[in-house]
Amino acid sequence: MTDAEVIARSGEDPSAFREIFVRYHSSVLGYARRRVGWEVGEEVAAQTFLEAFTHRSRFDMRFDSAKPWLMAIATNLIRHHLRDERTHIAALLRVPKELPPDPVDDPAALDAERMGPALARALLSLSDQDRETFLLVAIAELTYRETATALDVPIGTIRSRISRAKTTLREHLGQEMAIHMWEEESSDDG
Amino acid sequence: MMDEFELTRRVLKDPPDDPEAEARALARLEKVMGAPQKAPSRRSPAWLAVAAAIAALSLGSLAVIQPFGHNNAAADELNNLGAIAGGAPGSVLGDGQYYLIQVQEFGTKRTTDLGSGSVFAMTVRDSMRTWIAADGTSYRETAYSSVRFSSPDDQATWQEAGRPTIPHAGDVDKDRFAKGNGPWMDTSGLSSDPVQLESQLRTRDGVTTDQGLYDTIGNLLSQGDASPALRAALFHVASGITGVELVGDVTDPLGRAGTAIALDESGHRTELIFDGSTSDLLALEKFNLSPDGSVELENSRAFEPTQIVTTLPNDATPAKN
Repeated sequence: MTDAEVIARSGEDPSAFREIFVRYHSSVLGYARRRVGWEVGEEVAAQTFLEAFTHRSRFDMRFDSAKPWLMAIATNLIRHHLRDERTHIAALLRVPKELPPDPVDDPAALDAERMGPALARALLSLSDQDRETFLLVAIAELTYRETATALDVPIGTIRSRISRAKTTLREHLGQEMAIHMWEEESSDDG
Repeated sequence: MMDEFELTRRVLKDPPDDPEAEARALARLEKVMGAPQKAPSRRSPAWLAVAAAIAALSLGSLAVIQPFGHNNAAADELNNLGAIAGGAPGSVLGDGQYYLIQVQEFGTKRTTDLGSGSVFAMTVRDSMRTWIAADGTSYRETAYSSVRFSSPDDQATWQEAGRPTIPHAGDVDKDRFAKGNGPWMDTSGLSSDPVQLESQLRTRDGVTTDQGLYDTIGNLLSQGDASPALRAALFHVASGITGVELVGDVTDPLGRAGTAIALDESGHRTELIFDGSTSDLLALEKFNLSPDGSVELENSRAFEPTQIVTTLPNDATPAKN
């Protein structure tokens, strides 16, 4: 049964909405906690499902999946907690306490540890709109089209916001990544 | 190497499962679900969408009034901005005065080596200041804060071309221009009648596409030397371009809040970002659109408000004709 069918059924049988909770609470909780931290994230996720249930008649039945709609509700709620988001991201600015014991086993994890502070600075430098768009794709793992649906803007707007965000991130991360070697070399050569 | 999405997923780690949080949230939800409910109404069922589409098709006259791709919201916004621009005070340069135009640029610059014909790209951030005198002569300083090759291939191409001179971070280029030779557009002689103005822009400036027209309008609005009537007409011409799209509230590269209006054409997107209260153009951003749907920022230019000044940097008299 699709999400749309479940939500339609919950019109007659409100308890049917439990299925939507079972399908998506974990995703919404993960998204919210990654954006605003543990405690606030839990509250945002819980509120998301209360809002969704109360206003389930607003769900557009043309969409099979409820995920973009739920992420949109969570994103709207997070807009009231932007200070928490900044605090949460700023915590990544701290130098990692210790690196993974054997980077050979998972070099990507080592990269992530090293890049954390630079990524945090980059995310904090983005506009709120560009950051929320980027994070809907990156951590809520919505497609561009689903993100456009969630934010109710044209897909071209999503593309340009993502492009702007990635450009800014690359600029910040470029100082940490191999790209700086080209810069140094060009300075020497030129 | 990880892309930005994957890196973000790894840095903002997925929290572990939390059955207790789930149980708390479910208990709250079940309490609400158990309360008396109003049945939700189904919204936009498929048959209704089809019926609406048929109804829209039957209203053929709509298509005549509004060409495909015309966006009323964008046109309305541009016309509103035009009204603001038309009511703003104008400025005329006196003797010894200059327009000072300040631009922060970021993006890809492609250089063709004239000897080898090779093309290489560099990602450059610079700050450009241009002084324009009343007689049309001008002086420009470009200060580079960041220069790097866009890719290792670009660096290799540059090396193979014999390492032609390129700018470096910290360099400041100084250029003087005679009247008519500056890298901006002459606003003298442009009509403030939108119909005539569009014709002039398409013929005088050799604009052949709507995207070219939109870019030209952006460039003219960025210069700050257009009269209020001309600025109003430029907005009016822009509002008639098929395909303009209201993006909405955005933040420009300098962190200023504005309203963006975009136009996509032939694999390129131009976004103009305006200050909604003054109609000033804050920024012009160009994007490349790939067939696979991805979008890359080609370059951005953020404009500071044009000033009228009476001094130039030391020994920087604009070139004479």
